[in-house]
Amino acid sequence: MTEKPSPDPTASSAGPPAVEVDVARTGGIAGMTRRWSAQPPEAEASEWITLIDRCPWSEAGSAADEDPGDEVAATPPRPATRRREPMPDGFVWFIRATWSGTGPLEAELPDDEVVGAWRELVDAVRDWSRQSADPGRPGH
Amino acid sequence: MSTSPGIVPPYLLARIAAVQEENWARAADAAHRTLAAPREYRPVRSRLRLSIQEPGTLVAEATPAPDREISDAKHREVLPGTRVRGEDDPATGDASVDEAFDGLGATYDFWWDSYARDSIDGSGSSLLATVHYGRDYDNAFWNGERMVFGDGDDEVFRGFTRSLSVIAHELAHGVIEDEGGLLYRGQSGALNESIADVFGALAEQHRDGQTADEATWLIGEGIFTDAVQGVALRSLKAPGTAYDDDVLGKDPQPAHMRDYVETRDDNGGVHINSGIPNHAFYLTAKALGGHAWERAGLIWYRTLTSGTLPSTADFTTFARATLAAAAAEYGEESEEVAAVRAGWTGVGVIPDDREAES
Repeated sequence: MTEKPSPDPTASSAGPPAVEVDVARTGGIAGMTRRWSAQPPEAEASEWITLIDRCPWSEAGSAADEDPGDEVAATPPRPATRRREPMPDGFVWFIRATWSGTGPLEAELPDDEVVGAWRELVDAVRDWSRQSADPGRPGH
Repeated sequence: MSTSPGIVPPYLLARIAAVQEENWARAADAAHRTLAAPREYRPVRSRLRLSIQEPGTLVAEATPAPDREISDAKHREVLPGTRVRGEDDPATGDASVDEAFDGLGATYDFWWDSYARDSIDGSGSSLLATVHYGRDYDNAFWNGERMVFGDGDDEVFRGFTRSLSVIAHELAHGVIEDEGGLLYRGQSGALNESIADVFGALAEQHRDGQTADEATWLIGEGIFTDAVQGVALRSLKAPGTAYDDDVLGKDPQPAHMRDYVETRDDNGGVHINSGIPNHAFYLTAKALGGHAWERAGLIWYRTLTSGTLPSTADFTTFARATLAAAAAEYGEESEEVAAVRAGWTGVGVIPDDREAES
């Protein structure tokens, strides 16, 4: 099941993406948000779901927990949150995965926690996104 | 090994201290005080600076000196990496290492000359930096104890150490943290970013001897590749105009509260909404003229180091604190207080009505 499927005509036939993984890298000294997305077809789905399953979603701070409305400076960080103080100018990553029949998984991670399985998933999304990018568009 | 705490040998200090000539009085006094200072085993770096203050008056001052250490992460994302240059070592020939070393020196000089602050903690702490962090790494950051610089990806960024405002920005994060910090989220986070930009820009202006009128007021000039349509990361003079690129989009910084950006990205837009306090500083400095670090910069510095600025301060709290600092330094009716007030009303943080804010 986890074998990478060999290229066959049905795999490349366009259909609705079975899996979608979106990655946003925000912050950094430049404060620029870069986004990448992978929407692989059905035939690659199991390989992607394996990558997704290896990530410790339950241990990551969920982006959905953050209410943008409570960014009032006077509100101290809630003790229940596991989040550390962010590093000045450090990247903050948002990762979201959805596939048929499953609600979105979401994670918000500081840069130095994007290692191991997270890093593999992020790199896979960036590679996928780069390969499918409009060739006329420079960069990512 | 050495019994001397500094680079000026005690015998030389003793000779200067003993000079009787009137023109050398200040130098003799400085040397005397240096000799009288308690010697510590911990090496404290100092240096002798000679200058002509008035025609015919040679002034020699023993001033503290930086203690820099640059490490090389060798393209891994592991800190600190391998130490490649210390304070007494010659240039390495590696541009990133030497730019970081020189940039930290210029930043150190800025803090000492402008505010008599001896390094990040005010007590001569070492200035630590790591270069060549990661592969194609598009960022520079402060990790709580050192500055970390990537090389850039050569598509958007071509390295971060070439810009003094970037190096000084990172070091300023260390100063802010040492002074009690500003929570890195929402408005207090945008203030943290803005103060780092302000002192980043001022360090560059100080190195180049520029007045408020002459300065570019840019952060990160020269770090974009030629492929990017833009001059820098941010502009304090005209927030929102630093770049406008097909791929990167347009510089999203607002210059006024009416354009404040609510977002979940970037810790609540700390690098975006910093445009508002950045521009307030610019307006203040522009109104006062001359060297921006001397009056506008001093007011911001006094505000940061007052010991009363809460780490959760919002823009209004900070603005009122700068007014209080200006009044304490220059008097309630001073042109400095008026310039600070006009700066904050100009960006919509303080209502444009003197009665409304007391």
